[in-house]
Amino acid sequence: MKPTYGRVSRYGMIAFGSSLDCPGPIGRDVRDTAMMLQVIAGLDRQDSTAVKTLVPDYLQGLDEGIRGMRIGLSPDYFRIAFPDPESGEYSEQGLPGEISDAVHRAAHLLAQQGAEIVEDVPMPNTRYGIPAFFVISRVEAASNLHRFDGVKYGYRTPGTVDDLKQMYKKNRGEGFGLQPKLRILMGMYVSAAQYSEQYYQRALKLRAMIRRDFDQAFDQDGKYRLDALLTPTTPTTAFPIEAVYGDSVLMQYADQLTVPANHAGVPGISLPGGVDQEGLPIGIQLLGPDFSEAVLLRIGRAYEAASAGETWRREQPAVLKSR
Amino acid sequence: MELCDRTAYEIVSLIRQRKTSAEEVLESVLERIQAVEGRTGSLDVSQLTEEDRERVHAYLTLTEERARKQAYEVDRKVADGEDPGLLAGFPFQLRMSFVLKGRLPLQHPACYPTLYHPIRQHRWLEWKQPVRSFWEKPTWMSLFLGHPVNPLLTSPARATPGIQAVFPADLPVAVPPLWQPGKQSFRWGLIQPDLSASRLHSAELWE
Repeated sequence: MKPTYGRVSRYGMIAFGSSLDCPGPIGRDVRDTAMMLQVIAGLDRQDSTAVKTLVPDYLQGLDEGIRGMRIGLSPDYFRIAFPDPESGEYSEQGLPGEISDAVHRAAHLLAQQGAEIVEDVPMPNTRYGIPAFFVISRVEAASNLHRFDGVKYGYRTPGTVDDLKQMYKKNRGEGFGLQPKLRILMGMYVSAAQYSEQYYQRALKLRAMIRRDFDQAFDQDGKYRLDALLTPTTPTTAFPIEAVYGDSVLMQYADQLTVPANHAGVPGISLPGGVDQEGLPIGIQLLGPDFSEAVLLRIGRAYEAASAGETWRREQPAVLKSR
Repeated sequence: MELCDRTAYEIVSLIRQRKTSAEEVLESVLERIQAVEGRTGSLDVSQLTEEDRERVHAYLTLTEERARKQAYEVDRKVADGEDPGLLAGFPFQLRMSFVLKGRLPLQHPACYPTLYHPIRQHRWLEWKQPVRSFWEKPTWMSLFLGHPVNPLLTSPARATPGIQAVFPADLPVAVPPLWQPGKQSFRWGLIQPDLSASRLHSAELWE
């Protein structure tokens, strides 16, 4: 589960993108997740972004059911829209059938439990999630990783150095791997004075647009009045172990359906929703308005109970089968 | 079904009812880790072996001893009838990068107590050692002004006779930011040169 931004303190985490980072529990089932969230949520003096809002009892209403809840489905979460690197024009690619089927099956189960399914909720700015994430997270990573200079913080080169500059260079050069270096370089580039307007400022505007999508969908006086949005978690199932990032469009956009929650700061929970032909797990995701963790857990629990008898729930990982 | 396959809710209830102990749960989890975990992941991934493909590479750090101590403490609390806390006795993992209390990363200086001394190794940090700045190469400026000298680090006692820099009486000398005294430190600024012994500049000083 990814709680609302600020629900859980970020103290102790190695910061990457401070406005996107959000710690959350992973559990064997929904009740475990609720228990863990109960323990870690709350105010912390060590993190100024942790909020004062009281932590409700997440375990209390867990089994109360979802009768009358409005759960939305958005077509924008069932396709990946990506720009052409040359022309910048957007093309669309549908999600694999198995994944959208799993979500629709879940929607059907939830409807049987008494929830009202609202279809065709527009979330038009979902497609900008990844580009905005690339810019914002890189800028924040470059800023955050500055502190690993090896003087007060982080790796210090064991070799000898002649002067301060060389020491900084060696500390960072040896301490960071390729990926952090790429992120720092890109972050410095897109936040530089002459490029900031083109990249970082624009990404921040996109972020506000993504947030507005959620505000409209969850607005209790609006058109849709959703309690939660039901989406797939990822556009594909897991990649094979030696797959290279960028091999396929779907791989590059693996985070497209989950980053909107980080941009908007809203809570989300991903639940196992079946397996594909190869036996790899498929995830379904519920997104809700700010501080609606209890509602999401309740829907998750209802779904879990309704699908408890399904055969895929008894699948075991290969590493345990071979024992 | 082994203990480690149960949900946290079940495990915690079993511990509270004293049908099992936190130590048993922990051993069950450690046993499973032993059974399925392969070599520790690293940035430098060489050729994958057959074993690498079959096993899980989940842990960078396992704090077994600390977990055992904590499990013992939970069992003691349950036995004494104290409230051990909502999730007490349930072993957990941290995913992604977290700072761990009481653990030093391998590269940390304190891991090399004999090889490495953070202060001595770096001349720029050593007290009363002159610093080669980015002005270390002679430039046209140093021809006239001499090298800038850290005013904090020079003292008449240290200044040995050598090549004396020639300071024109009213020309200010720029000093690199880090080594300015007092309130002016960390800023570029200008100080008035004086021709006292502390401003002596010797070749030996720059060794």
